[in-house]
Amino acid sequence: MQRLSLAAAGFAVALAGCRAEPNAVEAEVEPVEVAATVSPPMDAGDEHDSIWSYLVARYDADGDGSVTPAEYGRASFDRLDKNGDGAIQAADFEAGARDNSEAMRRQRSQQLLAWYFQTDDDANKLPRTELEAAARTYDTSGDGKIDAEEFGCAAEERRELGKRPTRRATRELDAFATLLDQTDEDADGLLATAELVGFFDAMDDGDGVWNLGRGQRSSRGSGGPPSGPAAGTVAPDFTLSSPEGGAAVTLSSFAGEKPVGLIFGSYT
Amino acid sequence: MGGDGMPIVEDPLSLEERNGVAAVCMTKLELEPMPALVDDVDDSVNKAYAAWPDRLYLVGKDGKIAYRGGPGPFGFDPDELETAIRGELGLPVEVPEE
Repeated sequence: MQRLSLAAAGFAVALAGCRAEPNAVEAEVEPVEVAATVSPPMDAGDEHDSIWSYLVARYDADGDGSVTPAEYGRASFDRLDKNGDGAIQAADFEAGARDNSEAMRRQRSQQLLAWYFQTDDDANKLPRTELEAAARTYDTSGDGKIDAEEFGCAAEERRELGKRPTRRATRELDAFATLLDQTDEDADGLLATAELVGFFDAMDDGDGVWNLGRGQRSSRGSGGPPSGPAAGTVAPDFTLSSPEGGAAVTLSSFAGEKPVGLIFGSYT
Repeated sequence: MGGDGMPIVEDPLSLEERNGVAAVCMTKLELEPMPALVDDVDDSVNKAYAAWPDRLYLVGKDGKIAYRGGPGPFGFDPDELETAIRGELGLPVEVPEE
Protein backbone atom coordinates (compact mmCIF):
# COMPACT_ATOMS: atom_id res chain seq x y z
CA MET A 1 0.00 0.00 0.00
CA GLN A 2 1.33 3.37 -0.91
CA ARG A 3 2.16 5.62 1.95
CA LEU A 4 0.54 8.98 1.91
CA SER A 5 2.78 11.95 2.22
CA LEU A 6 1.08 15.08 3.43
CA ALA A 7 3.51 17.47 1.90
CA ALA A 8 0.79 19.72 0.59
CA ALA A 9 -1.40 20.33 3.56
CA GLY A 10 -2.74 18.89 6.71
CA PHE A 11 -1.06 17.31 9.64
CA ALA A 12 -2.09 14.90 12.30
CA VAL A 13 -2.66 15.90 15.87
CA ALA A 14 -2.47 13.16 18.44
CA LEU A 15 -4.55 13.66 21.53
CA ALA A 16 -3.59 11.81 24.67
CA GLY A 17 -6.54 10.87 26.81
CA CYS A 18 -6.17 8.37 29.51
CA ARG A 19 -5.98 4.70 28.93
CA ALA A 20 -5.64 1.59 26.86
CA GLU A 21 -3.81 0.39 23.82
CA PRO A 22 -1.64 2.73 21.79
CA ASN A 23 -2.83 2.18 18.28
CA ALA A 24 -1.86 5.56 16.99
CA VAL A 25 1.68 4.46 16.29
CA GLU A 26 0.52 2.43 13.35
CA ALA A 27 -1.30 5.22 11.53
CA GLU A 28 0.38 5.64 8.20
CA VAL A 29 -0.25 9.34 7.94
CA GLU A 30 2.96 11.29 7.76
CA PRO A 31 2.69 14.79 9.05
CA VAL A 32 5.26 16.96 7.44
CA GLU A 33 4.23 20.44 8.33
CA VAL A 34 4.14 21.32 11.99
CA ALA A 35 2.16 24.36 13.03
CA ALA A 36 4.32 27.11 14.42
CA THR A 37 2.31 27.26 17.60
CA VAL A 38 3.20 23.73 18.70
CA SER A 39 6.43 23.29 20.64
CA PRO A 40 9.03 20.84 19.43
CA PRO A 41 8.58 17.45 21.03
CA MET A 42 10.38 16.81 24.25
CA ASP A 43 13.48 14.82 23.67
CA ALA A 44 12.62 12.10 26.12
CA GLY A 45 13.51 9.34 23.72
CA ASP A 46 17.19 9.16 24.46
CA GLU A 47 16.91 9.43 28.19
CA HIS A 48 13.86 7.41 29.07
CA ASP A 49 13.26 3.92 27.83
CA SER A 50 10.94 3.00 30.65
CA ILE A 51 8.38 4.51 32.94
CA TRP A 52 10.69 3.97 35.90
CA SER A 53 13.42 5.87 34.20
CA TYR A 54 11.08 8.74 33.52
CA LEU A 55 9.73 8.77 37.07
CA VAL A 56 13.10 8.67 38.73
CA ALA A 57 14.37 11.50 36.61
CA ARG A 58 11.34 13.57 37.35
CA TYR A 59 10.70 12.87 41.01
CA ASP A 60 13.76 11.49 42.73
CA ALA A 61 14.96 14.78 44.12
CA ASP A 62 17.76 13.36 46.27
CA GLY A 63 18.83 10.87 43.64
CA ASP A 64 18.83 7.86 45.92
CA GLY A 65 16.92 5.60 43.55
CA SER A 66 13.73 5.88 45.53
CA VAL A 67 10.87 8.24 45.05
CA THR A 68 9.58 9.16 48.49
CA PRO A 69 6.12 10.42 49.42
CA ALA A 70 7.43 13.88 49.93
CA GLU A 71 8.93 13.73 46.50
CA TYR A 72 5.88 12.56 44.66
CA GLY A 73 2.82 13.34 46.63
CA ARG A 74 0.79 10.94 48.68
CA ALA A 75 -2.10 10.12 46.38
CA SER A 76 0.00 9.26 43.39
CA PHE A 77 2.52 7.58 45.63
CA ASP A 78 0.14 5.03 47.08
CA ARG A 79 -0.99 4.12 43.64
CA LEU A 80 2.46 3.31 42.37
CA ASP A 81 4.07 1.70 45.40
CA LYS A 82 2.95 -1.72 44.34
CA ASN A 83 4.80 -3.81 46.91
CA GLY A 84 3.76 -1.42 49.65
CA ASP A 85 7.18 -1.07 51.20
CA GLY A 86 6.94 2.66 51.57
CA ALA A 87 9.01 3.59 48.56
CA ILE A 88 8.49 3.49 44.82
CA GLN A 89 11.42 1.65 43.37
CA ALA A 90 12.43 -0.31 40.32
CA ALA A 91 10.96 -3.43 41.93
CA ASP A 92 7.47 -1.99 41.74
CA PHE A 93 7.82 -1.82 37.99
CA GLU A 94 9.32 -5.17 37.31
CA ALA A 95 7.38 -7.73 35.34
CA GLY A 96 6.27 -9.48 38.50
CA ALA A 97 4.92 -6.35 40.12
CA ARG A 98 1.22 -6.65 40.44
CA ASP A 99 -1.25 -3.92 39.88
CA ASN A 100 -3.22 -3.19 43.02
CA SER A 101 -6.39 -2.35 41.31
CA GLU A 102 -8.74 -5.22 40.72
CA ALA A 103 -10.83 -3.06 38.45
CA MET A 104 -7.89 -2.22 36.24
CA ARG A 105 -6.81 -5.82 36.06
CA ARG A 106 -10.28 -6.89 35.12
CA GLN A 107 -10.63 -4.24 32.48
CA ARG A 108 -7.30 -5.02 30.91
CA SER A 109 -7.89 -8.75 30.74
CA GLN A 110 -11.35 -8.27 29.38
CA GLN A 111 -9.96 -5.96 26.75
CA LEU A 112 -7.32 -8.50 25.76
CA LEU A 113 -9.81 -11.28 25.47
CA ALA A 114 -12.09 -9.02 23.48
CA TRP A 115 -9.36 -8.06 21.04
CA TYR A 116 -8.36 -11.60 20.35
CA PHE A 117 -11.45 -13.65 20.99
CA GLN A 118 -14.32 -11.86 19.37
CA THR A 119 -15.94 -13.44 16.37
CA ASP A 120 -18.69 -11.00 15.47
CA ASP A 121 -18.71 -7.32 14.77
CA ASP A 122 -20.20 -6.21 18.05
CA ALA A 123 -17.12 -4.87 19.73
CA ASN A 124 -19.04 -3.83 22.78
CA LYS A 125 -20.02 -7.25 24.04
CA LEU A 126 -18.27 -10.52 24.57
CA PRO A 127 -20.68 -13.31 25.38
CA ARG A 128 -19.25 -16.52 26.78
CA THR A 129 -20.43 -18.43 23.74
CA GLU A 130 -18.45 -16.13 21.49
CA LEU A 131 -15.36 -16.57 23.63
CA GLU A 132 -15.72 -20.33 23.45
CA ALA A 133 -16.22 -20.26 19.70
CA ALA A 134 -13.19 -18.06 19.18
CA ALA A 135 -11.07 -20.25 21.47
CA ARG A 136 -12.02 -23.22 19.31
CA THR A 137 -10.77 -21.48 16.20
CA TYR A 138 -7.46 -20.73 17.88
CA ASP A 139 -7.06 -24.30 19.09
CA THR A 140 -6.11 -25.78 15.75
CA SER A 141 -4.80 -28.95 17.30
CA GLY A 142 -8.13 -29.52 18.96
CA ASP A 143 -6.63 -30.54 22.25
CA GLY A 144 -8.55 -27.92 24.20
CA LYS A 145 -5.45 -25.81 24.74
CA ILE A 146 -3.93 -22.89 22.88
CA ASP A 147 -0.18 -22.63 22.74
CA ALA A 148 1.85 -19.61 21.79
CA GLU A 149 2.20 -20.74 18.21
CA GLU A 150 -1.49 -21.39 17.71
CA PHE A 151 -2.20 -18.02 19.23
CA GLY A 152 0.26 -16.27 16.95
CA CYS A 153 -0.99 -18.04 13.82
CA ALA A 154 -4.61 -17.39 14.57
CA ALA A 155 -3.94 -13.75 15.30
CA GLU A 156 -2.09 -13.52 12.01
CA GLU A 157 -5.04 -15.03 10.16
CA ARG A 158 -7.43 -12.65 11.80
CA ARG A 159 -5.27 -9.79 10.61
CA GLU A 160 -5.35 -11.05 7.08
CA LEU A 161 -9.09 -11.40 7.18
CA GLY A 162 -9.32 -7.82 8.27
CA LYS A 163 -10.52 -8.67 11.75
CA ARG A 164 -9.08 -6.77 14.64
CA PRO A 165 -6.54 -6.66 16.07
CA THR A 166 -4.89 -5.81 12.82
CA ARG A 167 -1.68 -4.01 13.41
CA ARG A 168 -0.48 -5.48 16.60
CA ALA A 169 2.09 -7.83 15.21
CA THR A 170 4.54 -7.19 17.96
CA ARG A 171 1.98 -7.55 20.67
CA GLU A 172 0.88 -11.13 20.35
CA LEU A 173 3.52 -12.55 22.61
CA ASP A 174 2.76 -9.86 25.14
CA ALA A 175 -0.93 -10.56 24.91
CA PHE A 176 -0.43 -14.29 25.15
CA ALA A 177 1.82 -13.92 28.17
CA THR A 178 -0.54 -11.53 29.85
CA LEU A 179 -3.50 -13.80 29.25
CA LEU A 180 -1.54 -16.74 30.60
CA ASP A 181 -0.73 -14.71 33.63
CA GLN A 182 -4.36 -14.09 34.29
CA THR A 183 -5.76 -17.51 33.55
CA ASP A 184 -3.19 -20.27 33.63
CA GLU A 185 -4.41 -22.13 36.69
CA ASP A 186 -2.43 -25.27 36.04
CA ALA A 187 0.63 -23.26 35.03
CA ASP A 188 1.27 -25.34 31.95
CA GLY A 189 1.99 -22.34 29.79
CA LEU A 190 -1.05 -23.03 27.67
CA LEU A 191 -4.36 -21.26 27.41
CA ALA A 192 -6.88 -23.98 28.00
CA THR A 193 -10.37 -23.20 26.75
CA ALA A 194 -11.59 -24.30 30.15
CA GLU A 195 -9.24 -21.83 31.83
CA LEU A 196 -10.42 -19.00 29.62
CA VAL A 197 -14.04 -19.83 30.29
CA GLY A 198 -13.34 -20.22 34.00
CA PHE A 199 -11.74 -16.81 34.00
CA PHE A 200 -14.72 -15.41 32.13
CA ASP A 201 -17.19 -16.89 34.59
CA ALA A 202 -15.25 -15.67 37.58
CA MET A 203 -15.52 -12.10 36.34
CA ASP A 204 -18.96 -12.30 34.85
CA ASP A 205 -21.84 -10.88 36.81
CA GLY A 206 -23.95 -13.88 35.94
CA ASP A 207 -25.51 -12.96 32.63
CA GLY A 208 -22.89 -14.68 30.51
CA VAL A 209 -21.86 -11.46 28.77
CA TRP A 210 -19.04 -9.01 29.29
CA ASN A 211 -19.86 -5.46 28.41
CA LEU A 212 -16.82 -3.75 26.99
CA GLY A 213 -15.97 -0.43 25.49
CA ARG A 214 -17.74 2.65 26.67
CA GLY A 215 -19.98 0.80 29.05
CA GLN A 216 -16.94 -0.30 30.98
CA ARG A 217 -15.76 3.19 31.64
CA SER A 218 -18.77 4.96 32.96
CA SER A 219 -16.67 7.83 34.20
CA ARG A 220 -15.77 8.64 30.65
CA GLY A 221 -18.78 7.73 28.64
CA SER A 222 -20.94 10.67 29.50
CA GLY A 223 -21.11 13.99 27.77
CA GLY A 224 -21.32 14.56 24.05
CA PRO A 225 -23.21 12.43 21.58
CA PRO A 226 -22.57 8.74 22.23
CA SER A 227 -21.41 8.24 18.69
CA GLY A 228 -19.30 11.33 18.30
CA PRO A 229 -19.85 14.24 15.91
CA ALA A 230 -21.10 13.00 12.56
CA ALA A 231 -19.56 13.78 9.22
CA GLY A 232 -20.77 17.11 7.90
CA THR A 233 -21.26 18.63 11.34
CA VAL A 234 -19.02 21.31 12.72
CA ALA A 235 -16.09 19.77 14.55
CA PRO A 236 -16.29 20.49 18.28
CA ASP A 237 -13.69 23.10 18.94
CA PHE A 238 -11.00 22.81 21.55
CA THR A 239 -7.84 24.46 22.77
CA LEU A 240 -5.21 22.18 24.23
CA SER A 241 -1.48 22.22 24.83
CA SER A 242 1.30 19.82 24.10
CA PRO A 243 2.83 17.65 26.85
CA GLU A 244 5.71 20.05 27.14
CA GLY A 245 3.27 22.80 27.95
CA GLY A 246 3.97 24.97 24.96
CA ALA A 247 1.62 27.42 23.30
CA ALA A 248 -1.94 26.15 23.05
CA VAL A 249 -3.44 24.90 19.80
CA THR A 250 -7.03 25.69 18.83
CA LEU A 251 -8.69 23.40 16.33
CA SER A 252 -10.80 26.07 14.68
CA SER A 253 -7.69 28.07 13.86
CA PHE A 254 -7.01 25.70 10.99
CA ALA A 255 -10.38 26.26 9.32
CA GLY A 256 -9.85 27.70 5.89
CA GLU A 257 -6.21 26.62 5.94
CA LYS A 258 -5.88 22.89 6.01
CA PRO A 259 -7.58 19.69 7.04
CA VAL A 260 -6.63 18.28 10.44
CA GLY A 261 -6.34 14.64 11.28
CA LEU A 262 -7.25 13.76 14.86
CA ILE A 263 -5.71 10.61 16.24
CA PHE A 264 -7.22 9.95 19.63
CA GLY A 265 -5.22 7.55 21.68
CA SER A 266 -4.42 6.73 25.24
CA TYR A 267 -1.61 5.22 27.13
CA THR A 268 -2.27 4.12 30.63
CA MET B 1 -1.02 -0.34 28.41
CA GLY B 2 2.66 -0.42 28.77
CA GLY B 3 5.00 -2.18 26.43
CA ASP B 4 5.00 -5.28 28.57
CA GLY B 5 1.25 -5.51 28.58
CA MET B 6 0.97 -4.18 32.12
CA PRO B 7 -0.81 -0.96 32.86
CA ILE B 8 1.71 1.71 33.58
CA VAL B 9 -0.15 4.06 35.81
CA GLU B 10 -3.69 4.55 36.83
CA ASP B 11 -5.54 7.58 35.65
CA PRO B 12 -3.33 10.60 35.99
CA LEU B 13 -4.88 12.90 38.51
CA SER B 14 -3.49 16.15 37.31
CA LEU B 15 -2.70 17.83 34.05
CA GLU B 16 0.93 17.67 35.01
CA GLU B 17 0.80 13.93 35.36
CA ARG B 18 -1.08 13.64 32.09
CA ASN B 19 1.59 15.64 30.36
CA GLY B 20 4.18 13.26 31.74
CA VAL B 21 2.36 10.17 30.58
CA ALA B 22 1.66 11.71 27.20
CA ALA B 23 5.30 12.58 26.72
CA VAL B 24 6.35 9.02 27.49
CA CYS B 25 3.65 7.75 25.17
CA MET B 26 4.94 9.82 22.28
CA THR B 27 8.43 8.56 22.91
CA LYS B 28 7.70 4.91 23.45
CA LEU B 29 5.42 4.72 20.47
CA GLU B 30 7.83 6.73 18.36
CA LEU B 31 5.11 9.17 17.43
CA GLU B 32 7.35 12.18 17.40
CA PRO B 33 7.51 14.54 15.54
CA MET B 34 3.75 14.23 15.18
CA PRO B 35 2.32 17.03 17.30
CA ALA B 36 0.60 15.82 20.43
CA LEU B 37 -1.92 17.61 22.57
CA VAL B 38 -3.10 16.57 25.99
CA ASP B 39 -6.75 16.55 26.93
CA ASP B 40 -7.99 18.17 30.12
CA VAL B 41 -8.28 16.02 33.24
CA ASP B 42 -12.03 15.98 32.71
CA ASP B 43 -11.50 14.41 29.26
CA SER B 44 -13.72 17.06 27.71
CA VAL B 45 -12.41 16.70 24.18
CA ASN B 46 -12.34 12.93 24.42
CA LYS B 47 -15.97 12.99 25.48
CA ALA B 48 -17.02 15.48 22.83
CA TYR B 49 -15.63 13.12 20.21
CA ALA B 50 -16.68 9.90 21.97
CA ALA B 51 -13.10 8.89 21.37
CA TRP B 52 -12.19 6.51 24.17
CA PRO B 53 -10.03 4.44 23.96
CA ASP B 54 -8.95 5.48 20.51
CA ARG B 55 -10.54 6.88 17.39
CA LEU B 56 -9.69 8.62 14.13
CA TYR B 57 -11.31 11.74 12.75
CA LEU B 58 -10.56 14.07 9.91
CA VAL B 59 -11.66 17.69 10.11
CA GLY B 60 -12.01 19.30 6.70
CA LYS B 61 -10.68 22.66 5.67
CA ASP B 62 -14.19 23.95 6.23
CA GLY B 63 -13.99 23.08 9.91
CA LYS B 64 -16.53 20.31 9.58
CA ILE B 65 -16.06 16.62 10.23
CA ALA B 66 -14.90 15.06 6.97
CA TYR B 67 -14.43 11.58 8.37
CA ARG B 68 -15.48 9.94 11.58
CA GLY B 69 -13.87 6.62 12.26
CA GLY B 70 -15.51 3.83 14.17
CA PRO B 71 -14.94 3.63 17.92
CA GLY B 72 -11.71 1.88 18.85
CA PRO B 73 -10.11 -0.44 19.12
CA PHE B 74 -12.09 -2.33 16.51
CA GLY B 75 -13.12 0.69 14.53
CA PHE B 76 -9.68 2.23 14.46
CA ASP B 77 -8.72 2.02 10.83
CA PRO B 78 -5.82 4.10 9.54
CA ASP B 79 -6.57 3.00 5.97
CA GLU B 80 -9.93 4.68 6.15
CA LEU B 81 -8.34 7.84 7.47
CA GLU B 82 -5.81 7.79 4.68
CA THR B 83 -8.59 7.50 2.11
CA ALA B 84 -10.40 10.40 3.74
CA ILE B 85 -7.25 12.53 3.74
CA ARG B 86 -6.68 11.82 0.09
CA GLY B 87 -10.24 12.86 -0.59
CA GLU B 88 -9.83 16.13 1.26
CA LEU B 89 -6.61 16.95 -0.52
CA GLY B 90 -8.01 16.01 -3.90
CA LEU B 91 -5.53 13.20 -4.33
CA PRO B 92 -6.43 9.98 -6.12
CA VAL B 93 -7.89 7.40 -3.82
CA GLU B 94 -6.03 4.15 -4.16
CA VAL B 95 -7.37 0.80 -3.17
CA PRO B 96 -4.80 -0.73 -0.86
CA GLU B 97 -3.44 -3.99 -2.11
CA GLU B 98 -3.35 -6.31 0.87
